[in-house]
Amino acid sequence: MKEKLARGLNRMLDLMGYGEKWREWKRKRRAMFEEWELMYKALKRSPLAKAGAAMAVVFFILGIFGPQILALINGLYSLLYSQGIIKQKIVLDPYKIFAGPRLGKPSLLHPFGCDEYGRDLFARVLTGARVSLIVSVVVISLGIPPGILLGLVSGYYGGKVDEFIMRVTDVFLAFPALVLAMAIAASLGAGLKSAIIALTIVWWPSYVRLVRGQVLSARENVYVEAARAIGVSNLRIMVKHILPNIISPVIVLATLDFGTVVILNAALSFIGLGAQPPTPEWGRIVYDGLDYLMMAPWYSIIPGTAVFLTALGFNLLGDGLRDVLDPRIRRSIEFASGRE
Amino acid sequence: MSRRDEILRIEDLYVHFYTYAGVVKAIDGVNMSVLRGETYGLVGETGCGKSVTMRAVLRLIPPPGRIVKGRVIFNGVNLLELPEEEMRKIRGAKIAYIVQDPTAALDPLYTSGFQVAETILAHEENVGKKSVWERVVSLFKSVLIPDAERRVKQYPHEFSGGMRQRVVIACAISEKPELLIADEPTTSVDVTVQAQILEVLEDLKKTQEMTMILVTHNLGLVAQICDRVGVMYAGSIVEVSDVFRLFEEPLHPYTRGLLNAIPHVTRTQFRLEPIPGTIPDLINPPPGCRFHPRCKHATGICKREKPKLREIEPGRFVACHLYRGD
Amino acid sequence: MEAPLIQVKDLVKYFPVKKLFITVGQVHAVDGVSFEIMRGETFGLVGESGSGKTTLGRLMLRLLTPTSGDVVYNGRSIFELEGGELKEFRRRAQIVFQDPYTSLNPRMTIYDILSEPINVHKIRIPDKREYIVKLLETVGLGEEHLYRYPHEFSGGQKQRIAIARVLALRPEFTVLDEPTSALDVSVQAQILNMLKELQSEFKFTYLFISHDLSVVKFMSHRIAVMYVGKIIEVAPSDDLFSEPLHPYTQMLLSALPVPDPKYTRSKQIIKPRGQVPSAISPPPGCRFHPRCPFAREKCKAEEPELREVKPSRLVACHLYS
Repeated sequence: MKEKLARGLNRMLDLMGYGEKWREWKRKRRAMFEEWELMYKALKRSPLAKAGAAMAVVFFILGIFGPQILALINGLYSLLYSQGIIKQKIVLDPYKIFAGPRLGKPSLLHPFGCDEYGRDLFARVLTGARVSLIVSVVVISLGIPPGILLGLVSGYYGGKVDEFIMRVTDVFLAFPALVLAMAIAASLGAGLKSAIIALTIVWWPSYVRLVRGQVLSARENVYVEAARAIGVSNLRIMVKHILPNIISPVIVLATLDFGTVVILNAALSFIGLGAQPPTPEWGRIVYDGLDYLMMAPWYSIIPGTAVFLTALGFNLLGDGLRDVLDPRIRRSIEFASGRE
Repeated sequence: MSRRDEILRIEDLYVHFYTYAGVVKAIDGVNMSVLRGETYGLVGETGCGKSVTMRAVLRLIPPPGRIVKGRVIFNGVNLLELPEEEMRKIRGAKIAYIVQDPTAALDPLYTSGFQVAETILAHEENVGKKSVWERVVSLFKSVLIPDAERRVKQYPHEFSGGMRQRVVIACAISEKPELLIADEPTTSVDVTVQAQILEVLEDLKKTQEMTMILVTHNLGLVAQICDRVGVMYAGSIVEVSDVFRLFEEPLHPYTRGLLNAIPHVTRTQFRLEPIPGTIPDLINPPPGCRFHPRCKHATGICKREKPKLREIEPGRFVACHLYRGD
Repeated sequence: MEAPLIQVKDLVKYFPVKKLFITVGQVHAVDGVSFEIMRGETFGLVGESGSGKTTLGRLMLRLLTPTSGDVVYNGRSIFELEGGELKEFRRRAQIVFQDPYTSLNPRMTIYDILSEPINVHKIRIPDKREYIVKLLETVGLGEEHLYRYPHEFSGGQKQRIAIARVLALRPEFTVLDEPTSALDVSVQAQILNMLKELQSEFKFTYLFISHDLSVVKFMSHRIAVMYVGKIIEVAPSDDLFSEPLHPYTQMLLSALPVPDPKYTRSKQIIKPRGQVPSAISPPPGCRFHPRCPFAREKCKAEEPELREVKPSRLVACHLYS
């Protein structure tokens, strides 16, 4: 099947006149493909990592296609209504009040139940996945690049530059991430935007640390000296010779952090500094449900479980990816795939 | 060669490594025989299996390696059939093993003297602390470590590479082994230090009546101290001879190639004669003689049939179809 | 006589030794070394580990900055070069490293590795791919290796790729830092032959660094022997081996096992005594005197200079003064 697809693709590209270019490109980028293949093989070896990957994928799908999923369900409901199978007209909408009974129990039509305004909790938790996904993606993609950049500069040049960057980093790392994020978020005023800004500011220092350490050992490689002997510029050495060789641990940490950002963001909203009502944010829903914990325990427990499963998934996935980096495990995987 | 003089005899030894990529046929039918009191040189290039063969003698093949079949007869006993407890008594006491890297062989947390003492205590019970310590000092003296009384109390990092190797040798000879296996003992040290270590080894051999197997890739070393030599290639011994005849008139094409490939300080050379090609992949080794793809004398039979190690003149063995006729 | 390509003038390199951030001493890696290399010559540099030969090679390419002294290349001090001139020097002077296993970036294809020097120096060639294939063919590899990664090659092949990378720039001068010490003898022979052939084809000048005396002899026209940061003898290759002058050279040669049992067992042996002294606090006077069988009072007090004692033979020893 896979081969047939590949052959078909090749035929198509040949007909379009891009065949040779595509194959040349693929040959040049073999390292990338092989790295992915290795990661895939490492993941396949561990059932926990597979479970983690599955959870992460589910999180992404729910986050990206949440509205479409809701629309699909609503379509089904209206079809059932028009057929007279269900008696009420039900629309699942995170913001619509009195869509169901107040504090309604989970049922077939409201699988996660309803909150005190009769809003459907399934729709709210599903939309909450989207909020968490956006926060994580923004924080990770804004927080990591400066971390990598500063770490590279710090580790490569050393001396006073290194000293300065590391002391600033130390100041940030001296506070627990949550406390610092709380302080920043509070001073910016509550809201999803300030939560994102606070988390981004908190995020980069750990990457500076990680990257710097990796650079310190990578720059001792003979190929770095060889590049220097050819006359390659410092910038190019950093980007072409050091960065590709240290990027794997950064990817692992970013994966683990994906889950951590979700937790911290939920925590900020829980204490009222993050997303404000009526935004369906997991931490906020948990908080709102606390008042009704006895009457409607699902109200808090379900979004709490969502946070838990997301964080767990990314942690398992990150641990699985870390196996790829362990030289001993890596060697055995490489050996198995005929690479040495 | 009469059987009586043999201290070690390896018969038809096969060692395979079971890796993900496939079965590495590292040792493929090794036969060798070491006589009491001699210095036997086992030479070959990286990956030819010389170290693995020696580890097989001590049954110290690391996983995923396994001895598939064969016999290792030491003083008339097949070591491969001994229970592990018996084997432990032989290791270190009857057969000692010196590794290439002396730094890795010594524990940085203990004094060098303590490590030698530990070897003695591992094999002997009811020995007094004081007598052990005296023995350690005399061992240090016998490996020509100057200022032995002070040196025994020092830690490995206070020793130079050459001195560390001497401590390792002192460990090895502490139980007066009958057979000393030195696996590339001087590869990590400089020429002058090498000369000093060789002096120690030769001196010990004489005074302690030891048999020594020297595993090395350095043909100069072999020429200098060995009595007989076995040349290994890709898991088998291809030639065995006394050292003088081997260097004068090498028989196997691989031995000849090796001798032509090295630069000599005693000659003026304008070009070396490399052996074409590279060592074979031992997962899918070439059929027949494993050297045939690189051999300029290869004929049809070399590709089909693996040559056996045969004695073609007294004391000279070669595994090559070229010498079938005589 | 034509001017030498490279003149090394009283070159000194000390490395500080630190304990808890406080400098407690200095490693005298290279300690006042002077010599010249002629165009088209292979200048051999032998010495035991810690003699400073590798540091010296790095200094001559300005990969390290010296404590004092100078290296003059084509009449210009290399430490004064800047900008475009420095870049041009980087093109002309190259290095092949000892360990082919780590000198190639594992994340780059052979094509990327070989096109890097061309890109960096903006060498104008009509067809880069064709040029790189030709380079590979020069070192005995082929087009099929173009998009492979370093880990797919054996040690000898990697060293060939490292040599091709150097060839890409058509340099004049190349430091060969133990290029075969990580390789087996049969492969070593292939690489050494190739280096010699390349030299006669492209008129390269080599600095050949090695601890292996027989390899240095095979490769070099002239040889310098280093001992604890100093050059103690310089001689034409054959002369050094037929008639070593310095007691240390004599000791080295007699300690070298020769693959000829009759010769090596009958030769006169000067037993090596003692150990190589620490480069942090080298002995006063002649650095070899604690191990020298001929040491006199003068050797302990006064450091001998490297002087010409016979035509084209330099030695630093009081025995010849």
